[in-house]
Amino acid sequence: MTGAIIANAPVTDLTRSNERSAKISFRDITKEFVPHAGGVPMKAIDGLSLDIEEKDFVCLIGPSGCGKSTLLNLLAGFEAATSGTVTLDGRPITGPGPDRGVVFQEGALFPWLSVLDNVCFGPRRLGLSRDSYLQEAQAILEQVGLSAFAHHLPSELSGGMRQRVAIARALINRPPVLLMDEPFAALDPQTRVLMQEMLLQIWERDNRTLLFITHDVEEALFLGSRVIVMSSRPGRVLRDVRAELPRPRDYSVRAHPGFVKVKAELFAVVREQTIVAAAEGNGG
Amino acid sequence: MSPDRLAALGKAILLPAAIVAIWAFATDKGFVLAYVLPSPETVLATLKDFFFGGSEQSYSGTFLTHFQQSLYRVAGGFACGTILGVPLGVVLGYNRKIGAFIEPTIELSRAIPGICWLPLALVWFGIGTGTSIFLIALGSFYSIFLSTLGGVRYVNPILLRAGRSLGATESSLLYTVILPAAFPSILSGLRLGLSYSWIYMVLGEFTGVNYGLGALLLQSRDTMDTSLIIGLMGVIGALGVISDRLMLLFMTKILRMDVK
Repeated sequence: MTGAIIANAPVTDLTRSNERSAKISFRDITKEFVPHAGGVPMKAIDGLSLDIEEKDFVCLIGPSGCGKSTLLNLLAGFEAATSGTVTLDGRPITGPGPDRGVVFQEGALFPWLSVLDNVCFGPRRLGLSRDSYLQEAQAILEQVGLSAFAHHLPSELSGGMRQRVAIARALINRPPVLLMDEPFAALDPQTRVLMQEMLLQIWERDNRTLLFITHDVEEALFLGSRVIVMSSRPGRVLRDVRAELPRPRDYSVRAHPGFVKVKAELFAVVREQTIVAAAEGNGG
Repeated sequence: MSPDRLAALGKAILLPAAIVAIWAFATDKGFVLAYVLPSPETVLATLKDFFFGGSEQSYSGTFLTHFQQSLYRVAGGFACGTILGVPLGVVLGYNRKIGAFIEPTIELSRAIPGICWLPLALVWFGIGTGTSIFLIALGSFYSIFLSTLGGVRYVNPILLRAGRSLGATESSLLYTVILPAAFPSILSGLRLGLSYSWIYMVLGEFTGVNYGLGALLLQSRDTMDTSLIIGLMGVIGALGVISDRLMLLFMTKILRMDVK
């Protein structure tokens, strides 16, 4: 049963579409984790190749442990691949940098800095003068609806507000690429929908290249212009779908017949992979 | 004050109040000999005399003299412990490679109780301020060092990633992310170190110096002045609490400050 769906899955072989150079390119990526106590290395990703075009909104979904966060960490420069290369504009990634903004699941705000100072952290490190970024910071806070909270500490904000600060903090550096690792996973469903709409507005205006990781099929389809489903460990690209839904999108697109159909389809694929992952976990 | 805090205060004060009441009752009825345990009123009167003078006693009105000596030793020793402990903790917490050479030695030397250093300190520094400062520095160093080391070493890695991806270089990461993130841990080390400083101050002054709260404490044992002994215990305890509060206040002002 498992085999049937995987075999039918139309995997786009992007390794051959090399005539147009991609913004981001993962080439034959393998990533192994060696346990601290020694022993057999765990293969998180095995020979994955993937190209991402400029200004695309790519959502990565897959079961837990499929290596989707690892993929993001490789691109962010937080981790190095065991073999294979990751390139941005043709240049290999050697470490983290302000050209790739990152929004983490739990915000990762600096708890000792006010909202405004969190947002200003990036420009300050880049050596810009206060005059040049202060206005921008205030404008971005306005955009995410937090002007009134500029002088609050992160601990004084709700989870949704903290994620908005995290987005603002990443945006102010104007990174050509924005990486988001399950940024809305810890939020309640109502807040999550509002955050998704806010993110869509920002993306539809700026058209950054965006890599967004989620567990949630509906979230991926609602946000992304391209949805990639990864297999259970070791992670490979299983499905690669263009989500050609009308833009600008709002919540009503969820009732669109195309949305419902693709969602059901992708949900079945992810479910299948989650079962495989769970079975492997139980079997040791 | 909110009703909740008032209720909490009421609960907290109940036990000490009962102890003082029993103490007053027992001494008033003559259940205990006055030189073994003087009454609360006698202790208060002695303290009043100690602070403001008014009697022919040798300690009358001498609080400031003794306090200045003790404070000087506590401040000096604590400053030494801090000047050694914080930078060493930061360096060893930040760089495990250097840590591998130094940490085991510090860990091993920590097993020697601070009080064991007293005879050696007397040989090295003689009776008085030098020995006190040495003991206080030693006593406060370990908690300051260990808390700083832990705070720096175990900074949430997500914060480091956030800092790096926002453009912080490895060297600027130290003062823009690592130190502020480790600050609460450093602060708790300093508080612990300060409380040890008062403890080792008393030990250092027990070696027979003329002035200081600890010195006076030992002298009042020689004169069997129990009320002054009890009074001094209270004063030293209160100074520990006050200095801790003052430092907390000072440091949390820094904590809220923007780290430029």
